[in-house]
Amino acid sequence: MNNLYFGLDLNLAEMRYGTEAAMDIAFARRIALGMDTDPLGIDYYRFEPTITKLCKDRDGSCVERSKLAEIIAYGDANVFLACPNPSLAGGAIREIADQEQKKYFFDFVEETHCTTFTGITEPQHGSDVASLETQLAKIDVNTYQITGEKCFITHGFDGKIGVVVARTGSGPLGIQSVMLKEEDLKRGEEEGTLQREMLPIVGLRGTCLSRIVFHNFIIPAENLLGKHLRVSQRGMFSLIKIFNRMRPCVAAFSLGQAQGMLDYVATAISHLTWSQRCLLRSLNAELSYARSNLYASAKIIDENPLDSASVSLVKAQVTRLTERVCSRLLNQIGAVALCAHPLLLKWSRDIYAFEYMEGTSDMQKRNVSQKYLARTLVGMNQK
Amino acid sequence: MSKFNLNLYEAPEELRLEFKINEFIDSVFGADVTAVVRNDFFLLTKPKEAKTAFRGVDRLGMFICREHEYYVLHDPILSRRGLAVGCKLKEECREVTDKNYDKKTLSYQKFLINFEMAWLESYMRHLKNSLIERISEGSPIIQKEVVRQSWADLVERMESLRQVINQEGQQIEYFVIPSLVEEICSLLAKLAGGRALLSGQAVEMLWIFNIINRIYIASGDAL
Repeated sequence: MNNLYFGLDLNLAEMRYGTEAAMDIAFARRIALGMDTDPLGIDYYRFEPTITKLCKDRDGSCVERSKLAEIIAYGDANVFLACPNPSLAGGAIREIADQEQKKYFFDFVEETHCTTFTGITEPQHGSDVASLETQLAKIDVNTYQITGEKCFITHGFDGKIGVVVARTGSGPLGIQSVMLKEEDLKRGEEEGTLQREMLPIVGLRGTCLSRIVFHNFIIPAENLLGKHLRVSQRGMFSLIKIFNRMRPCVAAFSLGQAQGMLDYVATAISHLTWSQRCLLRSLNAELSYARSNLYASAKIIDENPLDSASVSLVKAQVTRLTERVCSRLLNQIGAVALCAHPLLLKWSRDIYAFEYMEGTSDMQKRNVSQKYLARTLVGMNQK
Repeated sequence: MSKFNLNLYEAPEELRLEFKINEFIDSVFGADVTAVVRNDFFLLTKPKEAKTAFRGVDRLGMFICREHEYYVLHDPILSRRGLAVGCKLKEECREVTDKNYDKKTLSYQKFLINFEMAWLESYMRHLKNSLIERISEGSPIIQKEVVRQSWADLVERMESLRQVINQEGQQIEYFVIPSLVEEICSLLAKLAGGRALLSGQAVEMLWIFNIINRIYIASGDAL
C-alpha cells in the first residue's frame, strides 16, 4: 500500500490530476480538519502557493476555474471555499464593472489575498432576484445609501471587498450591483450602519456563511457597477450570466469532494470486501461520466454564458451523485467510518451544503425543462 | 444587531437530544452508566463524558473501560450539541452479565427511533407553516407544484415510517428505518431551502440521525 498523507494517496492524486495539482490537493487535505474547527484560521495560510494561484485569477475561463476547483476540492471542498479568491464577486466584476473598477478589485484581491463576498440572497425571498427588497437610494450626485438585509452570504462576515445587489426601482431594470470596498465596510461598521454576523451552519463551514444588515449605509456613487453599460445589460440579465458561469465551478468542487471521498475509502480503509470494491468501481465510473458532462457544459458556458440548460442539468446531477456516493460509502463501512475517520465524519455533513449553492436542484430542473421545452417548441414552429 | 427574522425551527424542551439520552440512560441503566455500546461504537453526551470512569452497557451486560481502552472523536458540530462519538478499543472488564440487558438495550433502540419520529413530525409541522407564509415569485411557496409533489413524497415516507414503528405485536424491522429517516430528512432539508443548513435545522438532524442510525440501528440486529 502507498504511504498516505492525511488519508491521501499522493501517487493516486498525481495520477488523477498531475504533479502540480497534487501539491494543491495535499495543502487542502492537510488543513481540512483545522478549517472545519476554525474557518477564519485560513488567514494564517493566505500566502500559500495554492491561495496565491486562486487570487491571481482575473480572466480564467469557466473550464479552467472549474478544473482548479475540482483539484482543491479533491483535498477538501471546504478548504477551497474558505480560501481567499475573487469568487462570485470576481465574476460580477468581470461581467459589469468598468476597467478602473476591475483593476481596483483584482489588484486588491491579489495584493491582500482577502476573501470576497456577493450579497444577493435575502431572508424573505431567498435568491429570487425579481423579489429583491434591499434598496439603493440616491442621496446626491456623489452619494447613495443602502438599506436592507442579506443572508447566506459566503464570507459576508470576513470579506474585505464585495458586491451587493440592490434595487433602485421596480421591475427587472431596477436592479443595480455595487462594489463595497474595505474602507466603506470599515466606516459602516464604525458608524453602525453596517452589521455583519457569521451564521452557525452545519456543513462547509469554511464558507463563513453570514448575514449582513444595512441601515442607511452610505457608499460613494463611484461604487455603482456598470454605469458604462445599458440598464438592461447590468441588471437581472448580467446576474443570470454570472450565476451560469459559477455553476460549473460549484458542480466541480462537489465532484472533487465526491472523488476525494471515494479514493479515501479505497485507500485508507483496509479489508474492503470484493463486493465493496465493485461498488467503488461503479461509483467511480458514475463520477467519470458526470465529469465529462461537467466540462462539456463549462465549455458551452465559456462560449455562450446564457446557454444555461446543460450547466443546470450538471449542477443538479453532480449534487445528487455526491450525496449518493457519500451515503452508499458510509452505508457500506458503517459506524467505523464515522467514529474512526474524522474526515469522513466531516465530509458526511459538508456534502449536504452543495444543494443550496447557486440554486437548488428544483430550480436547476425547472431551468432545464424550460430551456429544453423552448428549443423543442422553436423546432416545431420551424417545421 | 436586529433579530434574524427567518422563522427558524426551535425544538421544544422534550426534543433536546442530549438531554433526553441522558434522561433515558439514567432511568433505565442507572446514573453511573456512561453510554450504550453497540458493536464497539457509541454516542456520548457531554455530562456523561465528564465522568471519571467509562461504564458502558451492551446486550450482554455492564462493563468498565479504562482511559486507554476507548477513544472519543470530537467533532465541532457534535460538540455544539453536547455530543461525541466513540469506540471501544479493547475487550473490557465485564462487571455484570445479565440477559435482561438484551431487553433494556432494545428499549434504547426504540427510544432513539421514537425520538427521531417525534422530531421529524415537529419539524414537518413547523415547515408547513413556513411554506404557507413564505412568498416566492408572488405566491406562497406551498402553492408551487414542485413543492406540493415533494410534500406528497414526504407524507408517503412519514406514513411508511409510522407503519414500521407502530407494528403492534411484531418485531420492528429495524433495517428499513435508517434509509427512511435519511430520505425524510433530506426532503425536509430541500423543502426548507438554505435555512436548513443552520444549527438545529434539518441538515444537522439528518446528519446526527445518520450517525445514530449507523451506530445503533443499521443492519437490523438487536444491540
